[in-house]
Amino acid sequence: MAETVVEPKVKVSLGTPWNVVVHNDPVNLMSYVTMVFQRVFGYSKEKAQQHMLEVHYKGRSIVWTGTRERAEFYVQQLHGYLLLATLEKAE
Amino acid sequence: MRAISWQVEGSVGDSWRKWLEALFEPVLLPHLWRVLDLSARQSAREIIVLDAELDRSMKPWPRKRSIDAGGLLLQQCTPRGERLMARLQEAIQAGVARGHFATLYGVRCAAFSIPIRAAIHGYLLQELVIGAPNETGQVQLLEEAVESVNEFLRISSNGLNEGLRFHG
Repeated sequence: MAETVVEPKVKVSLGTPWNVVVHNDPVNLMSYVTMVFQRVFGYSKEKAQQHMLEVHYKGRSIVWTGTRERAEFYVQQLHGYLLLATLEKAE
Repeated sequence: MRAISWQVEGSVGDSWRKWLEALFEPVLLPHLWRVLDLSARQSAREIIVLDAELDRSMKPWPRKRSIDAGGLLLQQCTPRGERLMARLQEAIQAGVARGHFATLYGVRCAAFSIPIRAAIHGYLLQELVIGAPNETGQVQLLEEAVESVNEFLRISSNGLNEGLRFHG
């Protein structure tokens, strides 16, 4: 009689996603911020404008969510364009 | 495509270099330097005079674009109790100042304690990204401009007048 093989349950836990947050800044033009979003994230003009307006009116916008390494890379790129960007854990 | 005070005509690189030589290095760079310096001392009257000088130094189309872009900056939030910005806004409304982008940008950078080098690089980035958003060689073009900024700031660190003489 064949033995029943019970395979152990493997729980795969993906890392917590991280948000790239852009904060409102006092000196950059709105058109500039839109173009930076298009350039860094490859967003369409409409999507980039939505995020820019969220930054402008609400003070901050989550512009990207994903792995920590990628998020760090994006924050670094945004800092290169002198935008105020931070990382935070997604809820 | 038109940026704040330059536009691409033919090659992006050639247009950028032409703008650097014709407007940025002799006019905008010393202007930003002086506005940042005067803002730190809350010298509204001198900044208004500088704004009028800048207005006279610009050709018609960059002048209009520069004033329009300055108007957009005026719509952004200002720290409560920031008197210099308020005085400039009054001067613009009274027609005494035009409110060029470089002037208001310098005043806002000072109001938010943005260091001079970062402020000037931020200005260049805005001109470059708005004027040539799809240009792949933006980094190289920026580096070309940064060389003259570094040289100007190095000389200016010995005194504003010397820096102005270098480019003037």
